[in-house]
Amino acid sequence: MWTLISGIFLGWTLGSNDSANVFGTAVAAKIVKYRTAILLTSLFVVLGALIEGEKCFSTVSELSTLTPRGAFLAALAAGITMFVVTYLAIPSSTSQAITGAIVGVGMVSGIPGFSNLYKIVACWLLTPIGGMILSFLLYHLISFFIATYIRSPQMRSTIFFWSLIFAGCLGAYALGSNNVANVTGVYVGAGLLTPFEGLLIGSLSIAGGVLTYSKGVMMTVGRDITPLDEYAALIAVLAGAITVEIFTQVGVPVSSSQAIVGGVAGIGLVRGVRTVSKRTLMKILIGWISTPLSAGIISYVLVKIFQV
Amino acid sequence: MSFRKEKEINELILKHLDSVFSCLQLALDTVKEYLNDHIVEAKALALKVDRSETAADMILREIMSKLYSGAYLPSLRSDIFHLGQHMDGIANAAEACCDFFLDQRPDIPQEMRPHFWRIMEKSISSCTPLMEAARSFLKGEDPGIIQEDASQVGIMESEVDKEEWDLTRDIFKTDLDLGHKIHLKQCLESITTISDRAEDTSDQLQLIIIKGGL
Repeated sequence: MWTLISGIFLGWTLGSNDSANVFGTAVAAKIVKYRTAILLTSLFVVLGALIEGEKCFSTVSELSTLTPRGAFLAALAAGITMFVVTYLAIPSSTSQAITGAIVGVGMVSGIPGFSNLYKIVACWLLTPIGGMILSFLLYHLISFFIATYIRSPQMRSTIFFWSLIFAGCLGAYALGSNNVANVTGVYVGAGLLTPFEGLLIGSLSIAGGVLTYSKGVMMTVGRDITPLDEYAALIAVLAGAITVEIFTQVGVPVSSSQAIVGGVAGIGLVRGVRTVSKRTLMKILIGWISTPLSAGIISYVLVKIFQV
Repeated sequence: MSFRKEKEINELILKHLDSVFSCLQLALDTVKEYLNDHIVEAKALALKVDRSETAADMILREIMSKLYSGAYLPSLRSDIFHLGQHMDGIANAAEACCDFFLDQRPDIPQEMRPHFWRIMEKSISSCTPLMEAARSFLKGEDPGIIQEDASQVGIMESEVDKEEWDLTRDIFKTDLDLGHKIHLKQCLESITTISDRAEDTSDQLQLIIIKGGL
């Protein structure tokens, strides 16, 4: 069972990195307290994982048939990669890290089975686009509703607040349901864990990362991507959450970071302004490209060293 | 965040509006008594204006304290507070007007007193649609109606400006010495500052409504 350590580490880094996507904007805008955000995120991540997390297991576990040691090294490589990008406060994709790591292991062991890879990569590309389209549509829909029916500043303030809480919880639920497979999918595929064990251990490790190490990236997402007003923050998070949940139903783990950045960009489309600063966008793009590459290289090297 | 804090602030804002309105009515009565040479009555009323303005200040401070303890969303907090500050500025102008009359005792010629009174009435009246607009805003009523009321303030303020201009011309046409003329002009400005502040406040309110259009 020692091989689970790397998966737990990966889950922890996922939690610390991705939780920012659900409550980052609300916390940075001082609408929701950081403590409230991490408690709600942890709870709903676990719920999402336990209720719907199994849907993405097959995609990850079928990517390449791994031995228990291979599973350990893949998770370790992905975990190291995500730890570094979290330390650098770059919102990155655990899905891409684990995929890159599995591919790295697979290349050394010569085990075929990359049939799902094309589907996965296609979903990665569609994720920010989906976030952008959804946020564009939601912006118009919800703004019409609010401007027509919710005029009182008191009512509007209260509804916005609870809507942000709802969107954050939905985002956390989607994060759990979609990404738990990244954490323990390799172990389930390698026969080390049952699906339920995979869901439980995976979700608890993600929650651990949320509770202990998420503040840095939360502030980056909240402050540096764009100074969002409350309404834009709500739309971005909601669009991101729905996008990720759609891909859960498709059965492919995707990046919640990419979904929310797409959501923020969609708001820019509506308002005719640049909502994502070039510098931060570049930082994110570098992370997206280097994450799977780095994870793949690290896992390749680890496998070579340990001769899986 | 619950309804409770926002409800308390709304009640305080309405109380603040009532306080400002009371201040304006008392200022009107003060100037009326002064123009009728009832100085003792005018002094007593001016004291009430001062107390009313102080009460409005205290309510505003309480609003600020509750706002920044977590009520309303951050963007709305500053809007609501600035609106309250502008409203308070109107009460300050009314108090300053009464202070001018009772401290400096302007010697207003009898033939000019009806004109001064007319301008004072119009200046105070310009605040009425503003109060209505502010109350409607808090209740979440149709922005179009609020904008109409707020625009009415601008129209009334322009009428006050015209009356001020006419009276200023009449003052400087007289044989009074220059110092006396200037003093009367300053007295007139203390009156028209009230409607000027009302117009600034209505501009602030209209800006909040436009921003709230998402």
